[in-house]
Amino acid sequence: MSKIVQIAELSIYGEEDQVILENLSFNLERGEIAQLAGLSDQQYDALFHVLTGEISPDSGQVVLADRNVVRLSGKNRNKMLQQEVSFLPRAFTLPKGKTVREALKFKLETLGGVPEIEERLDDVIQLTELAGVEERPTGDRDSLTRIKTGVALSVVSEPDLLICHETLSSLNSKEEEGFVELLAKINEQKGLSILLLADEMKSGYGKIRVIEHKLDSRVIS
Amino acid sequence: MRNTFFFLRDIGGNIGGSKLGRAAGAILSVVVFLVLLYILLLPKERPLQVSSELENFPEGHRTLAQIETGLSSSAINDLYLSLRRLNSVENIIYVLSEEVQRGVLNVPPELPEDANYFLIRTSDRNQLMDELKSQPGIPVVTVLSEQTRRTTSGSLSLWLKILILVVGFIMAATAFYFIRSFTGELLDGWEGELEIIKYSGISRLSVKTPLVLIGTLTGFLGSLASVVLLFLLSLWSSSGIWLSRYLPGSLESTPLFIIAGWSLLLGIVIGFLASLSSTRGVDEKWTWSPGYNQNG
Repeated sequence: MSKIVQIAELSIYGEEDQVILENLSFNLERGEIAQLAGLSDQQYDALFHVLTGEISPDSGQVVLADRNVVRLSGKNRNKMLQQEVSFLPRAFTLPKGKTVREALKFKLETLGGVPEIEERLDDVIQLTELAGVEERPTGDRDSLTRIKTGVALSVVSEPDLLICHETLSSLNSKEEEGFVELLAKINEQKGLSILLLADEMKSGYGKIRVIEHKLDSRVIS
Repeated sequence: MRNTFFFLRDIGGNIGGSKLGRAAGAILSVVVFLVLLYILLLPKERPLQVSSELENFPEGHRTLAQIETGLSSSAINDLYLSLRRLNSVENIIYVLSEEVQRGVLNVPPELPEDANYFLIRTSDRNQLMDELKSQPGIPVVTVLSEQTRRTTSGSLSLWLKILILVVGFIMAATAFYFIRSFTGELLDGWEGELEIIKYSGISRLSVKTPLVLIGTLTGFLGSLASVVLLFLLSLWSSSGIWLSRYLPGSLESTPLFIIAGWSLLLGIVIGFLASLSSTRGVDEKWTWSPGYNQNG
């Protein structure tokens, strides 16, 4: 099994050399679903934005889907985001005035459209358990449905890897379980690799591996 | 480019309510700003020639003969017939003092505005001058040239000019603010779409371009409205409307087209700069730095 995420000795420093992350290392196998737990909000934020390529780490290697994100040109980074890796940021904002279906269609059209777009939308709506609410505005929903909509938006482009950034904080135990069940289902049915950047779950969930990461002891928490 | 038009259509679909109000405010501010500029910059000198109603004053009528004041209608009629018989005269147009006062015909400053005139077309101006010398009831004869006359009634005092300049500057700033807040509000209402676009690997230029296009179009619409107003005033220049008195009275006037061109350019520049400044919100959305939101 090949590795789809390879983080090696990643260090990020803030202003005045404040240590945010130091010597973080972990891997994710292709087709695997795993959770990186034990970091602070600030550390998750910094790691997420390094993975998206918005900021460069001070040192270390970041390889996503066989692409070295640190040395990626803007054009290749955009190509990676369009074709291979999807990101679901924390507190994701959904489009106002659009239904779930319209929002999904907007994403596909932004990416240049796909043949048989309606079939793709139906498929994703079924997969993410949004059938029945797909014609309602995206803002008109509970926390779990909101996150499911976010997941649907992330997987509608059929990426190889999905990176979710701490989306569990606003959920109760039941909603959290529903969300994790959904990710496991997508992972199983579509073979999508999923990296969950989230702190400890309220209840343990066996299908998700908790990543054992090596982190320097000086890391702030 | 494909995305730009797609986003333009999607953002355009969100225009309504308060956003529409801001757009209307922006257009109105641009119109007021440009009209104030017209008042300041339109030449207070007008060509010494027939300014309107060209069907009544065809080309070539350049000799102006003042009719002696106090002549009765029948005496003027006799005078007209007498001039009509002169060999050098091809055509005569009788111009009433009321028409002179309304600005239909601009007479040289040395001639009174409360007199009646004959406007004469001739084949031989020297011969006409000789013949008119012996003509009773014609005290002054002159030839209309391309020289200009300053209309003293329309000149503005320094304080008024300063006031117009200040108000004009405020209106330009208002237009800038309205366009900026209009495109800014469009951007705010599009936050969810921005998040999708950002994580879809689409460049921020694709988002900025439609916003700048919308802002520029708003500025352009304002300037276009002011130009339409300018041309209408020019068309009605003999109507007595104050500003229109400084206009050429013809839609085919080069100065009018130059002013119109500058107006359109100014409106476009205001719209472009205002909307460009609002797109800083896109940059803020696209960038993240360690230390930001550290307490979050």
